[in-house]
Parts: sequence; structure tokens; C-alpha cells
Amino acid sequence: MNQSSETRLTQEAVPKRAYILLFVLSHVSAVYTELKLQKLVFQVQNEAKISAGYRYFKHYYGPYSRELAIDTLTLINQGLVHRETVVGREYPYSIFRITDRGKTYFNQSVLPNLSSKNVERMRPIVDKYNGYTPHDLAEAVYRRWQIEEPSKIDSEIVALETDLNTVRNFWETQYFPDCPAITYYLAFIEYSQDALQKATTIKDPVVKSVLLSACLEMNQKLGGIAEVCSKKGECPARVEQDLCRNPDPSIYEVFGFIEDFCQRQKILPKLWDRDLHELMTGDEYERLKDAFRTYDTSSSS
Amino acid sequence: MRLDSDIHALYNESVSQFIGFATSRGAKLVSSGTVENETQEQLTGAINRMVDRASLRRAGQVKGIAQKKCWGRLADLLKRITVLPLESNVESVKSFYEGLLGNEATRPKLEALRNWRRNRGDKRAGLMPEESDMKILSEAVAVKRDGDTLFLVSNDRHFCEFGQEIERAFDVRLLPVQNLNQFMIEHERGN
Repeated sequence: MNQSSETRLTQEAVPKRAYILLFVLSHVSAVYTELKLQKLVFQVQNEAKISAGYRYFKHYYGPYSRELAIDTLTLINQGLVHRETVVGREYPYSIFRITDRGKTYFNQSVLPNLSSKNVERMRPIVDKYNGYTPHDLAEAVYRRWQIEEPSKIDSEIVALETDLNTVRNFWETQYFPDCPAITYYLAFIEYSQDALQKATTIKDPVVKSVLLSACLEMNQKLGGIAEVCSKKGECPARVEQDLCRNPDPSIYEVFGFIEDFCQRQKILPKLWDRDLHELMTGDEYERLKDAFRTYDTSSSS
Repeated sequence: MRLDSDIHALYNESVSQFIGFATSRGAKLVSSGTVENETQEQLTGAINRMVDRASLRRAGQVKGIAQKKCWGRLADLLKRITVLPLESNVESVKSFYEGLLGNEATRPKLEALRNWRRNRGDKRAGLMPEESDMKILSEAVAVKRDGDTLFLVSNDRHFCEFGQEIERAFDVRLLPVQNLNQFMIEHERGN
């Protein structure tokens, strides 16, 4: 960041509601995954009863706040927050940290304006939930925001299955064999559809509700990326180098939660552990083996 | 029926075996970021095309699983090789292929390669190799030191079809992947 933008950074440039985000990040050394950051800010805001905070959409975003996602990006662009993308053992994920510049800004411009009551209320909540793993915190939040009426859950699952089909159809039209991102997106959608299908036989409404919320969140994220990919002639792989190989980690984070939750609740094994019997018929399996055996692996590029 | 074991049975183990073979004989194995990227890209396309050929009803998860497992295997393979940041001169390689294009004896091979690529769905395929291919060859040339014997292990037809020409022009010896087993057997015998 150069000197001119340094001096331009005023309190007005940072949205007022972002003080919750800055407070959280200044209080912990790092937040692992956007999934956790979203849910941590959500818990702090709700349990500390902070007014004028972020708007969370409980049914359609999981709960998820688009404003928080945008503010995070703004703070990153302003050099107040640093995001690191890590390849990860299973999926890529993000790590968020406040920068030195962010600490200075927080201490000089934000902290003096925070009421001591708010600070006292927020601190123990950040401490409490910062100890949770991203998946545990996400599950706790999804459980808290569970859909109350069991009958409504089933109808929402049916509606989501339709939505997932729509997103799946879109990605199938965008599909080309060399795109690793679409390969994963289609796998995630298909897995989530299987999971939701199985979930209809589950009696526990809380489990169903948690799965539904997480799948809704993933569906929204995939829909968001679809808007970028649908722009004529703008494949993100070309627009932003490597995006397809390292796409928005938050999709992977949410899917990572879904499959982890499915495994723990015995709904489905994790995607990588699925048995082929469940995914294809004997004939299909023979065709696949044949395709592998006879494929010409020589390359031209 | 586990994709893990099924895919495993279909892996070509020769590259992995060759790495062990070469390392145990003190040979230096190097790669570059370009090769790494290119391999990853090729891998996804190859897996997806194979699964597409099988016309599965629910191919999404099969492709995802296969991609993940193959990428993991590639990462393990690359851990055993030194990946160098290389500065290279692509222009000399470009001139080399332009020379092949201008030569009546070699031009038909490049035309056949272009047609083969187009038949595989690469509508943009031209007579020259992809920029990344030329970069890989130029990186191999950059690695070469006087007195060293340098082998370029590849499955790329733009290299394999012109092994002799490449050796004459750059003193780099082509070792096609399908010849690795034979190469190891011959060296065993030689030793």
C-alpha cells in the first residue's frame, strides 16, 4: 500500500460494522477458514447482543453474511487484514490475520470508540468460540439456527434439490474436461444431492436442518461463482490465472463441513471414501475400466 | 469395488519406478514449475475424458474422486524430485520448431500432430507446439551443463516425435515414458 492510500484510509473508509470483525481478528492470532470467521462473528454479534452489526440470512446463507464477506475483502484490500490461502490436506482453505497496520488502525481509530460494555461482552465470547474447530463451530451455529417446524424442513429439502439441479445443469453446460474446478463443483453437488436424499429418511430434525443449512450455503456459493463463469468469454481460469486450480476456498470449506458432518452422522462416507457400488452399475464399472485401459495417454501439450 | 484400488491397478508405475531407479544410481532428477502446472492440467483433462468415455449416469463424484487421488499421487511423485525455478530462452526452441516446419521431411509430422490434437477436441491446435511445451524444452536446455548427459522424460508427442532432432539441436536426449521400462532393463544389464 503506498503513502497516498495510507493517508486516505480514514474511519469513513472502513464500514462502522466492521469493528466487530476487527475486534475478533485483533483478539485472536488467526482465524482458520472463512467458514469459521463467518460463524465466529455471527456468534459474537448475537451472544454479545451487538446492535448495528451484520445482517445474516439464516435460511438462504446458512447463516451467512454477504456484507461481512465484502467487508473482509475491503479490509484485505486496505491492508488491514491478511488472507493466506493454504492448499490443505484435503481442500484449500483461508487463514485470516490482522496486519500490523490493522492493529494500529484498530487501537487508534476503533477501540477508543467502542463502549467498554461491548468490549467486556465480546471478549469472553471470542475466547469461547475461538477454541472450536471450524466444523464444530459451524455445526453449533447451524444447530442454533435450525428450522423449527420439521414439516418445513422436508419441503425445504425438496426445494433445495431443485435448486441444486439448476446449479448442476448450469455447471454441466460450462463443463470442459480440462477444468478442475468444475470437476469438483459437479462432484460436490452430486454428493450433496445424495446426502439430502438420504437425509429424508432421518428422523432427527436437527441433523436434517444442519445438513440443509450447510447445503443451502454451498448452493449459494456455487451460484455466486456461476455469475462470474457465465459472463461471455470470461472463464475464470483465463481471467485470473490459477483460479480454477485454486478457486474460492470457502466453497471447499463448506463442502468439507458437509462431508465431515455426513460421515459423523452416518449419512454418507466422505466423498473420497465412497464405494463405487453406490455410484455406478456393474456395466458402468466395466465401461469405466475399459475406458481407463484403452485411453491414449500421450499428450500434445 | 473401491476406486482407490481400481485406479491403482491402472496406474502406470513406470515413472515412479524410474525415479527410484535413477535416484539409487546417483542421477539428479529435476523438474520445473511449468512441468508441474502442465502435468496437473493434463491430468484433469485425461481423467475427465476417460470417465466421459464410460458414459456414467453419475459421473460427477467419480471424476472428483479420481482427480483428487491422481493429484495426490502426482504431489507424492513431485516430492521426490527437485523442482527448480528456471530461467530459459524460449526463442531458441521456437526457432527450432519453425525450422522443422520449414523442412519438407518434418513438416508432415507437425501437420499430423495438429490433426491428432484437433481430433481430440483441441480446436485451437496449430502447427507449432503450445507455448508451455516450448518453455519446458527450453528449461531442459537451461538445466544442461557441458559434459552432462541430460534425459528429458516425456510423453509429449511434440518431443517424442522429434527425439533425434532435439538431441542434435540441443544435446538433450529424449526418453519417452513408454520406453522407461526398457531403458531400466538395459541399464541393469549394462551394470
